[in-house]
Amino acid sequence: MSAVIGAAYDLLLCAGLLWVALQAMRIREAFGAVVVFMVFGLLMAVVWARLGSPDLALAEAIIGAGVTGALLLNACQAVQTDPGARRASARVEPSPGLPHGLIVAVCIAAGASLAALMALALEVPGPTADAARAGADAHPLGNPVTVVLLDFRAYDTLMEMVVLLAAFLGARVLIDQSELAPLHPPVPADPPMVAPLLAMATPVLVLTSLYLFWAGSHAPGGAFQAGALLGGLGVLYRLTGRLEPYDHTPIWLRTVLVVGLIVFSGVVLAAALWSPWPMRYPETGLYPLVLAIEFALLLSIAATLTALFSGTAGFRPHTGARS
Amino acid sequence: MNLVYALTAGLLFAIGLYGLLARSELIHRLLAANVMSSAVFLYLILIATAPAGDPDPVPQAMVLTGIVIAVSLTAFALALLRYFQALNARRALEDEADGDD
Repeated sequence: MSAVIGAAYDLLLCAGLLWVALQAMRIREAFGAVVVFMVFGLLMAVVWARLGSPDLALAEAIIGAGVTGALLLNACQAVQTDPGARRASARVEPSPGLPHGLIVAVCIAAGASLAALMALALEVPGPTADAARAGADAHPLGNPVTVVLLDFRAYDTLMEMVVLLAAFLGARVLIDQSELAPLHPPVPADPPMVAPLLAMATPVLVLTSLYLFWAGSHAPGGAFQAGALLGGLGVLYRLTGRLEPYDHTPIWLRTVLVVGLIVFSGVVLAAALWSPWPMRYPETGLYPLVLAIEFALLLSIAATLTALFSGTAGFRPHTGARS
Repeated sequence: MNLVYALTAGLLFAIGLYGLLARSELIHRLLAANVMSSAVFLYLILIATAPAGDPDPVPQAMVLTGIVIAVSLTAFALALLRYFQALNARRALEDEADGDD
């Protein structure tokens, strides 16, 4: 019985996922498409949970649906408010060149063949690293995903932080060069519910974020989910004017942006002291080192995501005097 | 169960491809690219899942990394989009000024 319910649930979930994705592609208006895309992110999170991967479900819900959605909604606003936006959008040539019928035919053919191939290839043994799984089982950290992220494949994670920083630097250069105005003009007066909402949301979000960070070493969670959640809080503060745009990156913000990379690289290099290779943890004291790295990563991820959302060189806490 | 998700991954990729080809607005194309990457992530996890049991931790970590990279790419692409628009607006103004002369 439960198998039947499970199968029905899977079918409904997949049908919903495909329907929402199709709508996100078809809705003309950017705002509507973005909102539907955020729903798509949430459904993806449910799919990850269903496939037995709570780490991915958390990451997708916070990053895929939350942060990406906030960034996209920001861009929708920018498309309308940037100087000369309407004029510019009128100039972009409307047609991609291919007739619509041909595109639909190509996509139906591609979808059918890909789906068939993917279903057939399920039988082929995939990239299951049994050694990694066995190693993760014997590892002092309880969460196998964290073990892979911070120990077995720490280099990937380090480079991921570099990509995040590069994205911020790239966005900063572009925004600087085009001399665009900051997106969120200072709010003259808060709507009445904003202050109570923030007063409630702040402790809850900080606590949840710290819990995810702390739990990450032995249960689903980790620096990325926790950092993205804290970044979400930063987005909230930025939107309500508690953090105001700043035309250069203050020194404290620069520090926070790179602290993850510095601590991580520091541990990687320091490993030369106790082992012949870099990126190797000492026999004892692995846990505090991992916690230190994860906490630094958390801070950097939160700051980078908030800065990316802000779309300015930097931001600083709002002081009442200026407005 | 995995069969349903494998079919979904293939179709999802095709839907993303459709969005990429059929829409000319840049935000929509970005959405389409994100949908396509979701389809790839989904399949990567599927082929790493044993018939009974949880997915392998290594692909899970790779997809987690992929999700974070996807959001940074999206953020950078959105900055590019604003830059492109500002550039176009400036060019339009210059063209108009030339037209007046």
